[in-house]
Amino acid sequence: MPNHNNLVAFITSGYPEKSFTVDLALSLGENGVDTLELGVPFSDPVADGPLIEKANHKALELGFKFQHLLEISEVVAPKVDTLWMGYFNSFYQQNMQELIPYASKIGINGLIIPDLPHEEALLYKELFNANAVSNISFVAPTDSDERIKTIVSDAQKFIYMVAYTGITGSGVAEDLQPFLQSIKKHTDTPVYVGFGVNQKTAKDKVKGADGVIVGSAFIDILLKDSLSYSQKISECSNLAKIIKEEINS
Amino acid sequence: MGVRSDLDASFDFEIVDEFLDHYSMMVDSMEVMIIDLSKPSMYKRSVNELFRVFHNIKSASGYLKIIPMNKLASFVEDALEQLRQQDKPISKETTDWLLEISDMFAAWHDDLKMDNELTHVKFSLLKLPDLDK
Repeated sequence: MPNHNNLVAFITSGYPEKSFTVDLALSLGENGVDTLELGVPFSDPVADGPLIEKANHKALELGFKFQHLLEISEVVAPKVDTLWMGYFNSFYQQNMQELIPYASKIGINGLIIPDLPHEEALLYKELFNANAVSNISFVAPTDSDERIKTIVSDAQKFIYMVAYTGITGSGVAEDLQPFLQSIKKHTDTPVYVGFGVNQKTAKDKVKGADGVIVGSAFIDILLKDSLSYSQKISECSNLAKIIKEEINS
Repeated sequence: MGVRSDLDASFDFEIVDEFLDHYSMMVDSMEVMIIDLSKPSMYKRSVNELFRVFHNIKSASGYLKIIPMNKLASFVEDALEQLRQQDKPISKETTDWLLEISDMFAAWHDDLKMDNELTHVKFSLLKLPDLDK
């Protein structure tokens, strides 16, 4: 029976400009990306690595405004399953009571907010639920079993599993299976692995999970000044195709 | 009720107090040792000392069931074990990562002192820089 693992792609909205983001997003949707994370550029993206941080800063320097995210989303969301990924302050400043209904109206299916702890997210649970917008739950390998159980108890759409990355050969950090099982024993919600997922690691990281989230590998391409816009779109789309094949092979 | 109250409710006061004293000293010493990792003459001594610090935090936090601290200390200990195998000073990227790690442990120190809930681990800390650079 063939696998049906999903690919989530993160791209920085408005980098280098909003029309490019729209073209890239639509192309990714046609090339294996199941869900798109439109990143909201933020000056202090504490959960992201240096590549995404660089893209964020460049987008802000180029004049990114929240309004651009809305304009991009209005075109993309009806065609590709789309989430917003950003830091809470970006959303909070827009007034959550108005933003979430609007997000729902234009077809945004969820928000990923890495700096909004589960306990604080509960304050917005009714707002998200009433508008059929998911607030994606994060689980990290540093969470206790008790905390994992609490976080996943009302998880929606998928669980973002933050994996340790970078340690090889030392055993504990690279073996995602015990961590994955500690999540799966508490929930039937799909678990997608993020952090350190690229063309080389995707096949291994997806084992036992239901999908992968890829960010830096796409952003690395977007930051290459030597490539034209169309080359960047083409390289990102090829990468998406390859990773989608890898995680389902 | 914060982390200190949880500890006091589950363990002997003296054990918790001794842990806090040692933890405080270890957190205070981290930054200097991390900076020294970029100095060739200090590398070996500092990497071994730093390894010992994280090993001790891992053991103590494991005993006291401070799970996020125990798991992050274990992750850092793994990274330092790799660094112990090499002789060259560490890169700026690795220095920055370790300094962020020490900030996290310092934040937990404040949480323990103020009896707050433990600050959540910053996800970016779980991305290890290229240690071979």
